[in-house]
Amino acid sequence: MKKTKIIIIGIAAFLILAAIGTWQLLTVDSPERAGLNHLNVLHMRLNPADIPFLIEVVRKNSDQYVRERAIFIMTDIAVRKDAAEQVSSFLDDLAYNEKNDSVRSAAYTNLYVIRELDPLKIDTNFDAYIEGNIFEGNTVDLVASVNSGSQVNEAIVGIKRITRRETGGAQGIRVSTPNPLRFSLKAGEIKESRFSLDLRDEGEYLLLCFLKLSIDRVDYQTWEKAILLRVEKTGGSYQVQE
Amino acid sequence: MFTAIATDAGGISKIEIFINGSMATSGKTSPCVYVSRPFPAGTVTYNAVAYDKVGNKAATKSLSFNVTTPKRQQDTIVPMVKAVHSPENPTTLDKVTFTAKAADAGGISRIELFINHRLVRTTGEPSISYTSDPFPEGTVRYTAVAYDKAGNVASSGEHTFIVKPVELPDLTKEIRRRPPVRPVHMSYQPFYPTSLDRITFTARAFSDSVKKMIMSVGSYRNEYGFMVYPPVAENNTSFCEYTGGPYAAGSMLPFTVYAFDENNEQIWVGTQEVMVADWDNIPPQVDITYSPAEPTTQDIVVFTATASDASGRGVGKVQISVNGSVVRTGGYRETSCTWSGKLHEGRNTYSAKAWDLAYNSASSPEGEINVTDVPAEHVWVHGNLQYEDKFEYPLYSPATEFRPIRAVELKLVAGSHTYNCTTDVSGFFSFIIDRPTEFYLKLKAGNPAARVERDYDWCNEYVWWESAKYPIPGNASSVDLGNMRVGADTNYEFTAYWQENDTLFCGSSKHQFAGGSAYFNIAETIRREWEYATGHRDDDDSIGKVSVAYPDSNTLQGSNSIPWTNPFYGEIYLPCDPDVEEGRDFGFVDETILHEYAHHLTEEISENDWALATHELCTRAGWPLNADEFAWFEGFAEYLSHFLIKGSVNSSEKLSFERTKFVFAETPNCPNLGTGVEGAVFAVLWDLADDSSQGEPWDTVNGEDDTIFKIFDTEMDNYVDAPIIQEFVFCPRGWLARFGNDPRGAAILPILAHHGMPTSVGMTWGGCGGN
Repeated sequence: MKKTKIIIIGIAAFLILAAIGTWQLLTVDSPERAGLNHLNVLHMRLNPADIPFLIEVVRKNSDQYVRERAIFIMTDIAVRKDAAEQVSSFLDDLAYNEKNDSVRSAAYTNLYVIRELDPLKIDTNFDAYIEGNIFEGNTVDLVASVNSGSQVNEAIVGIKRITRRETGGAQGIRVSTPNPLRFSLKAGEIKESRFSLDLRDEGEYLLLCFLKLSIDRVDYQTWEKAILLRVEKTGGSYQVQE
Repeated sequence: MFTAIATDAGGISKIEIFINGSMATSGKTSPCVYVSRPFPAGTVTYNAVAYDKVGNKAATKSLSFNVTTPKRQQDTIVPMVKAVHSPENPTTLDKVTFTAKAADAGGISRIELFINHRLVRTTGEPSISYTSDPFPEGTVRYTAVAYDKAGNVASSGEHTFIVKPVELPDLTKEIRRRPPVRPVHMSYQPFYPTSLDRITFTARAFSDSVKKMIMSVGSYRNEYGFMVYPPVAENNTSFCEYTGGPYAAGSMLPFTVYAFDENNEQIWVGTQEVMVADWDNIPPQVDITYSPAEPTTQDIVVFTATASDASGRGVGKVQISVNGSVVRTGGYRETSCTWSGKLHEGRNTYSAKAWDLAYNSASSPEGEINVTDVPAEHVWVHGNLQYEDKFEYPLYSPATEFRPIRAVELKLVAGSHTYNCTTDVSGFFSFIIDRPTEFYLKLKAGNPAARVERDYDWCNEYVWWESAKYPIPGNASSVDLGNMRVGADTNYEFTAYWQENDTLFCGSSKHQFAGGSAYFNIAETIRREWEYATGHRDDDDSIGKVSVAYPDSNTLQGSNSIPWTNPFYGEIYLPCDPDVEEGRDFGFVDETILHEYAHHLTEEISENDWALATHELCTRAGWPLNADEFAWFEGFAEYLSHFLIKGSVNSSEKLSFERTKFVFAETPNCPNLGTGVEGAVFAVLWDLADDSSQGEPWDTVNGEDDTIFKIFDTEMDNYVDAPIIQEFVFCPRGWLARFGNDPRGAAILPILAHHGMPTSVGMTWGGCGGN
């Protein structure tokens, strides 16, 4: 009888300890309860296998700062371990839908960190050249040619800056047509945009052309192309700088 | 808060606020506001003095008010306390739980629980619970006494209940058919008897049905081969006891109690087996091992201690000590336990200790491990970035404050490796880097919303900040850099540099300068407006990053160097020029920064034509500009900057009030208003978004900033024409359409009328655009 009693007590104690052990594991490991120390340990490991857990922390943890830190840490792991695809769409969704300002900002910020190191692969050609006879007093066209391998809802192309080497200012060339120009772009379509330049004064100018493709609310990509334009009394030349 | 408002046709040059005869503050613009600390009890007098631009002076009359000390009411109300017990009618076999709760407006300091006039439990909590062993038959009295924090005492009153004996069923006939409630409690002492011990066996009956008990200890086989359990004691009361032994070790000694009722019928039998162990003074044996055999400072070393007991009683527990400290104690009767952890460089000691169930103990010899130092593979470098914000308009104190640098572009350079990182809402940064010998941080004034440089002309003067080089201690796995500050005019943990980017035509030498926190104030102020925009979007186009030139400002055509935006360049120019507004540092003028960035937002997610000119709130733009378009372009920027500044008042990081025009927003003081006056557009939007309609019978709409931004985002981004306020109101996704029959829709009409604008579409304009 006594042996039976001891065994029962032993089993009860085991069950209690097992329950406590399980609770402690949940306390440490559940995304809902994860704290900053736990996240820092995961950061030190730099293990892409921890990314799903960090995503769950952002989804389920009630501490907004813990959620924000989880975004920074998952991004660092993803960037360092070549696992950007694991977090990009999640961050994109957060940037669109998250109500908490800090968490939403963290999503944008970290998505841009990923884009900086791993840019969107948009198959785009952007060329710029001058049409017309270059000499002081004449008007020539700057032509910007754009095509994209995929549909783009909003493209903006224009002359971002005209700088005269001698003065640093823009005087000497005037853009006499609307600048910039916005349009949508079908996949494979080539669009040429023309900007009329009144060459009022001789000199050496740097024209900075830009293209921005707005993919969605979160993602965009920009390109720049510089044209070095020399205007002389009776002639001139230009050179596209890559 | 004291507010002084002054007006003068020629302009105000200074306003001073005096409190109790001393000047509390002064300002160059109206209104002048001063927020005081709480005053001591007594009379406070105050007045204001204003000066116009030609030195005329006017003063208000002296006013006063009386400051009193708030009265504190003495607490004489006793707390409420209630006590209950469970089960309601306990028997002699039931444990009883007593629960008491107390409540008091000033809080409970403690509760005491008395049972049968004996204090059994005290707690500092507002509730108490206590579970007793079963009571003998009879009456139990209990009381709870509660004390509140003011010392008032209250009692629950004395509660009583009667403990009755267990009503056992008639077991004479059913004893073998259904399990009875156990009527007898059996025990023996000592609990772990040895072959040297005499043992006392006890049986206690809890049922009145039990009239006799017979106790048997031990057994033997009789001559016929049957097992016999010899009786050793018999008693006709509820208690029976026998002491015998010592008994031989190594066997299970049967201990049996038979219970009989008044008819001498056996109603219950219980048996326990008592293990009699050899008496011993032989200690257990214990050993400890570890792995790996030659650990380094980066290894997790696992120690395993194992014990055995030759006496047969068994191992009680095992303990591990490392470097003189107990690090792990195993469970009861567990013969082994483990501990794992890192050890420090050099000599470490370890040992194990074990006890058997006779409390004999033994320790292993103390072992030594010489641990070699191997640095961690990774080092965690972390800290907080801060910039010094300055407030020229002394509404808040102090006039400077360090604030977090958020979402910034930060690099850690360690030899040939460069690590990238950004900062969070508190400016915290965290790098996990491969172990270098030293590193430094490089910081740019940029974030997802903005980049800030000296200029973007041909030569492009770029700015950055570098920390000193930090060595990494040999075995450190973490380096906490603490607060890393960028001062306004002082280099702290960072040194500021600028350099011309073009090395072909321009100079390329590296220049050092002092402080530079204005660059970060510009980036952070813009980031806050961008953050607001991202939270109120209604459309799917993106907000591109703006470039800010500071303080090497580009000049707007035909004007001096003033703050302005070239939306087509995606650039903002902020001067800090001795010739502009007496050298005002626009790097710290948040209103201007926000206003200019609103223009960038207009270009990025809404639309504007070429709408650049110097302007005032009340002026109407002339040809070649379109007055209505220009008024919307500027009025919206003015509204959004003021709305964000006002919203920051309740945050821990207030935006500066310098150059704000809140009084104008409420009461635009222009000779003429209308759709072509930016001040009127500003005032309309302000009325829709502000949270107060007090004294404004035309304004019945509050807090609709989200609607304003969504219309701005979706309805007003025409590709070919800049928007005007009529589109905001009347177009298909404008104000009236969005609200439909909701009263807030039509509520905009009296606001328009009040600010001199038409309340119907009966006028000509370019149309509703559409994209």
